[in-house]
Amino acid sequence: MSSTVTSGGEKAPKARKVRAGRPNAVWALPAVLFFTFFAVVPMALAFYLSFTKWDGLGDPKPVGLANWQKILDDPRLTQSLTLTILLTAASWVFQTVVALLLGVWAAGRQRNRAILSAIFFVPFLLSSTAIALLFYALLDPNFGIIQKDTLGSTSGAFLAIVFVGGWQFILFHTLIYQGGARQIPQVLYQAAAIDGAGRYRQFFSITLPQLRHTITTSTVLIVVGSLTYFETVLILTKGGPGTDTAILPYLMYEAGFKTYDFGYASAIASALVLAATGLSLLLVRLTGFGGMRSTREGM
Amino acid sequence: MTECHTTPSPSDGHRQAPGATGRAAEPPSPALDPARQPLAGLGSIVWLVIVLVPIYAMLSASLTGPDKALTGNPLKPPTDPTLDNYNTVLNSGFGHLLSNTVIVAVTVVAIVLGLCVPLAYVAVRTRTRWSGAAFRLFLLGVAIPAQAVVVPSISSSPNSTCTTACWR
Repeated sequence: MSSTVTSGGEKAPKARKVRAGRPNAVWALPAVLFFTFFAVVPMALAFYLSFTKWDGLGDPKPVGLANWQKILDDPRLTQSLTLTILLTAASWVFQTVVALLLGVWAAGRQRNRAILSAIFFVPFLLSSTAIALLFYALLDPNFGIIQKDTLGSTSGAFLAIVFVGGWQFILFHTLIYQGGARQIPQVLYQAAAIDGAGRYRQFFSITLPQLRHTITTSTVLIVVGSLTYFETVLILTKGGPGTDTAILPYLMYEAGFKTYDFGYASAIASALVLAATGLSLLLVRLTGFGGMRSTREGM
Repeated sequence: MTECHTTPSPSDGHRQAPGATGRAAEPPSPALDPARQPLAGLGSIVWLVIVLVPIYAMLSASLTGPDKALTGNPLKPPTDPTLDNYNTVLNSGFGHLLSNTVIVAVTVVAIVLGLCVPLAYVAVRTRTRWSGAAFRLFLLGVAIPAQAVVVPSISSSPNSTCTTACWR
């Protein structure tokens, strides 16, 4: 297309010197400072605590790598890690498929879609705690909807956690996909229609590729969110039955706030942060999202 | 295809200026077209039911008195609806709690917008090593479990009593 000339022109050597319209890094400074103080520093302290023994009172005592060794030796950890990965995978499949379809559907500007989208928004107004309590009541074996001990069986409890997470967060991802789908230029669909592409072909050849950055954004949020998912597990299953839904963040909570072993809890937290950040960076790199290039470049 | 009426003539499409997509003025695309998507319509109705059933159960329970709360199916409409629960909520410091929530919400939105809009501007518009590093740093931030930083945040705060005292 002829428009490629314009985007090519920006990369000319002269333009690099001028940097017209390129903001100074100072714009990022307030956010970086705030984030450093409220997230990086506490996380660094948690990392430091992971090399100490501390019950919350007195001074932390350095113990070297003992807490990290304890993670490796903890028999619950393998189960917990497997569960966390399974939960992340199941949440991603459930939330991505439903949110992508709903988002593309909601991108249409019909009135009925606008009304239904507004109703879909309601779960987003409730807090995680309220939602978990609501489903705890609905899944009660005696007074609930199903009148079956769903939370008492391993698979039932696991599926309940995946479902409740989806019920709560799918709308959020639907909104992301709706915004993304509305940005897709109509001219692409018109050109495809002239070429005889049907609805499904248009979805797979235009909508999906154009939404690839949106899918990356949503995926990073789902993966990281699932890795640090906590309140719902605490209220809905308390890690049970037995330890069958004790995912890593729940293990961390137990270590920190039940046995007051903040050193060990901090070691689990640090491991989680490292894993989640590593996964996010990998996703960003693999999908080319980090290049910050528009899906419409060259059009 | 039956949607041909929505398609402009090929010559119009080719003459369109680059970047000028003019979305608002155009009819919806065939892929987003209404009425011809029974499956999508059905799917949205299914999700509507999934969303509404728990909310209905919650509203129905809110109209049920404590003596009848644990009787029967939660999907049955309340036999003897009462507004007592709402009365209890309104008479136990609801206004104060609401004002706390409003203060938190307004402050958080102001901070997020004030900090994130300039940051996003830099992240998207510059391609230097520093802006890339900042972007990756914030990705790390998303990955931090809130419970993990609660203990260090409180214990390292110079005025840690404030976290409990300020919101009384």
